[in-house]
Amino acid sequence: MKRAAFWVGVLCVCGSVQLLHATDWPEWRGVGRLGVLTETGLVDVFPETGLPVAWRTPIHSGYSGAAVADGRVFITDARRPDSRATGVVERALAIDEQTGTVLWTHEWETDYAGLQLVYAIGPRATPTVDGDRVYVLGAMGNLFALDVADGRVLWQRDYAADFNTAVPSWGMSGAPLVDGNRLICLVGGEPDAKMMAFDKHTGEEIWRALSSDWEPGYSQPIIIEAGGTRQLIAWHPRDISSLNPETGEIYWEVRHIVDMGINPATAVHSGRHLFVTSQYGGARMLLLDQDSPDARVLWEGVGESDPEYGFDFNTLNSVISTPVIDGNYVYGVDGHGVLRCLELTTGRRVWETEDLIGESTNWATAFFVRHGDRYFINTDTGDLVIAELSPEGYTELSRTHVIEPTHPYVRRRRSGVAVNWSHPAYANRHIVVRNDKEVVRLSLAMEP
Amino acid sequence: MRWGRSVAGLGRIGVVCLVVAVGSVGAQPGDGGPRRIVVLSDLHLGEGRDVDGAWFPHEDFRWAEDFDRFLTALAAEDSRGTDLILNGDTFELARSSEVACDHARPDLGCTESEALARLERVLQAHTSAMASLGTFARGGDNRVVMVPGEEDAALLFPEVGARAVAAFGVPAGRVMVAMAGLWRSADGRVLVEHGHQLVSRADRFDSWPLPFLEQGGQRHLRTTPGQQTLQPLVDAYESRFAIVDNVADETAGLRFALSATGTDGIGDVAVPLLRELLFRFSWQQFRMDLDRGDVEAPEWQLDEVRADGAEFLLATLPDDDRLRPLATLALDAGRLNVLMATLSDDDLRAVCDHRAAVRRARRRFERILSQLDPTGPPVTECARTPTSTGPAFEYFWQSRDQVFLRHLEQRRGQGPPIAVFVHGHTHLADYRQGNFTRVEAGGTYVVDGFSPVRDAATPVVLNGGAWQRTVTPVLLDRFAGEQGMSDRELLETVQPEQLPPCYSFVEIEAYPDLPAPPSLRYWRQDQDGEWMMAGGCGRRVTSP
Repeated sequence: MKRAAFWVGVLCVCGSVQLLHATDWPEWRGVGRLGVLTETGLVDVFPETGLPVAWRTPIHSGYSGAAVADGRVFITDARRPDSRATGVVERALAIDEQTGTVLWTHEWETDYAGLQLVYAIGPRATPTVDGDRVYVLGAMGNLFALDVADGRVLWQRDYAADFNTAVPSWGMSGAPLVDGNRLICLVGGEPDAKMMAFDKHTGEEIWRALSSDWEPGYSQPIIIEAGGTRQLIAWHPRDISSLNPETGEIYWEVRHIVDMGINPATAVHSGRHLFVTSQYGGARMLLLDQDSPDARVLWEGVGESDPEYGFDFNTLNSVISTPVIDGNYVYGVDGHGVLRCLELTTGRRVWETEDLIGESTNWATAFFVRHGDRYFINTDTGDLVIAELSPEGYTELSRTHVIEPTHPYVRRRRSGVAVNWSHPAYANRHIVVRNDKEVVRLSLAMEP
Repeated sequence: MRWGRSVAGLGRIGVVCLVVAVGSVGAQPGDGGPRRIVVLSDLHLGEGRDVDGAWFPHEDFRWAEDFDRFLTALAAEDSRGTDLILNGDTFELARSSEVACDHARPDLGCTESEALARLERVLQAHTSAMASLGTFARGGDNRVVMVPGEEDAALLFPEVGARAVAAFGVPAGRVMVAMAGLWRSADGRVLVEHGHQLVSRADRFDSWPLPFLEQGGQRHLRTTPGQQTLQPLVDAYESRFAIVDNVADETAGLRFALSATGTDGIGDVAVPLLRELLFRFSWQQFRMDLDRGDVEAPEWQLDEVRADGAEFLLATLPDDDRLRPLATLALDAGRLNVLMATLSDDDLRAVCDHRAAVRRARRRFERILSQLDPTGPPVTECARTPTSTGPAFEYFWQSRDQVFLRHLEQRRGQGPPIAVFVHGHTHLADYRQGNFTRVEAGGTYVVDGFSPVRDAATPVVLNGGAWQRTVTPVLLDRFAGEQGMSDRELLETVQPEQLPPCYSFVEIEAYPDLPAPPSLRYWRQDQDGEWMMAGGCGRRVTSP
């Protein structure tokens, strides 16, 4: 019964997205950015020999996850022609979903000067597919609308050149969000162009909103329905802002400063609750008004910039990982890799464990995708885990290794000297993962 | 004079200890075994309580019981032997309500006898703390070294230093004054000094460690420019607002006081005050955290900066900076032109670096690194030279690098490379840089914190903060916001006892060959009243 109700809810939420194969993964965290996998017939226990590999295709480095739509896998990467220089060539690729053959590529030159170079290895944003167009974003703010068939440039924007964007230290990360005729983007432009909406067919500006006196941050915008109103949630390092997605009009804002501007996790919506978490800013649970577009803080959890940090554990300090809300509980990985369960309405810590990552270590990350009453979890050690999360604890059902971690990491941990910080795609009973060398498609089907 | 007469006999006794002590500064203990190094800065033992038993507002050390617990816990951690370095401003000898040091010239400070009298007053006010220190110094193979700061530079008077040593009441050789004005471990790899000689113009002595002037056959302590011009203002503020000196960094409290009282009556102090605050040491304390130095820092168009004149200095301050009204006043009075005319190219570069830092700190909410109020509007950068323009070149650490690099080059002398440099003075603790292995290249790069030598793992530089209750402007603002207080109400209301019960210090574990990275630690009390060593404070300002 619980699982059936879950699927009904998912279908309702996803009702407004474009016509897609039910099992595609067309954008960041899948359809609706929900982090939900709706397919059936997936494995319950991984084979001892590992998941069957459908194909491996060499690519260059980068963090962007894959998008899968209509038989194609889209991904971005970058290469440095001169390893001693900051100039790079970024690239978008379309790959045949069945064979791994590269169908087309589109390259552009840019310069990573000004980024924190340890992590300046490639694009961050996951491509967004909408019908016959795929939107890709480079780390320095090069936005392209490409024809999915051949990679032809339909239109393009350069955030820095066109909107005076000062690219933040870890690059532009906001994956474009399609809403009706609009392409909503985290631009960080000036004046007052932190968020912008473009005509998704032409690239013409439709609206702009929010001051860029403060950095844009790294969180992905989402659209929710609350208080009888569709709301664009733009969580940036100064505020949690709710906008009218059609006009950019501000519905409400809750001040929530995230030190260092580091907020890579995506805001999580469930019913009347909206949750954000970051390393320095800590946690904020908002209660959304049920009659109008409005919100208030339900509870706060300390962040690393609060003096109580390290002494008060009724909080979640995710660095990259987007948490999940399941029933009356929040589950997420904090900045030290500890999986933690909090009460939804109070923030009280229920339990925590190091079992998922295997150790408490800086900036550890896991990507959660809900599948019925269980979760597929990708750890940054390159593992894929099937687990159940409940207030009673973490129950690991199966674990396998799917990708070699190659992303730079500047602290040591038991699992090695590198990490995998790319969100996987789940589509057509397969998982698509990438590192800095290859993109790999592996079968999750119960019956091969 | 009353105090001077009373200490004469004790001073003679102490001289013997002092001579021995001076000769052994920097030496390792007799058994040659590894020793732990613990550094406490800025205790600020002052005059204690008035005749009615109330704390003098300018008394910063109100924590004798906490201190005794701390030293007991510290001693229990290591029985082999500890070098406890009291790293400057242990005693507040630059001010006194009873012993004036007024002389014909403003740069003439206390004579030796006057300084001795001031010290005696302080020692009488803090017998408990001195007893605790004595107990620690007698324990095991421990040793205590007093490094002078600008507030207790008078320790460099032989009799004053001897009296301070004698106050510990321990056998000769256990306590000493670092007559070199700094302390260096016997192997030369650890350097500890207070920090006032690093960069701050106002507190710097020209002839350190001999901060003296001869006049009429008498030796006087030299009065620093800051003590001449700013100390009266600081004293006036602190007499009204007890926590002014507890806001870290050391100049942040001045900004609050200016905001609380307005700029009326500042007059001629405006320019030196602005200069001090514009070039305050902590401006160079921002950490480098962007990369390992692959990208060159920007070059500023100094000709354009000079062409802007005094407006350039005003534009350096964000609209909501508490210092801005004073700068505006000085600009209107034509005084900023005077200040502008005195600034060298290096000064202008430092200001431009700072503007870039403020801009980035504001845009990124970098209060962890900068302790700047992160909520206000950003400032503009200085104009860059065409060759250094580009997207998001937001580098600003060069001034800070230069400060430490130059200083450590001077200090190195003929000895081995300095591996660890610990200072204080600003009251704002700052973590050491971290060194981690970059995966791709496999080399060691500094990617967290900063290094005065680009790409080098050493020397490690660490600001130990102050062993007193301090509060950052961010936490103070947060408290004011929660209580709905203005700056004036805040300063008139909050007492040092309300500040987090938390005291920072630096520890370097005993090492056989090379010093391990130093640790910034805290002696803190938790919500349940338990005391412990910790890696942070974990407390906020509390309501009275």
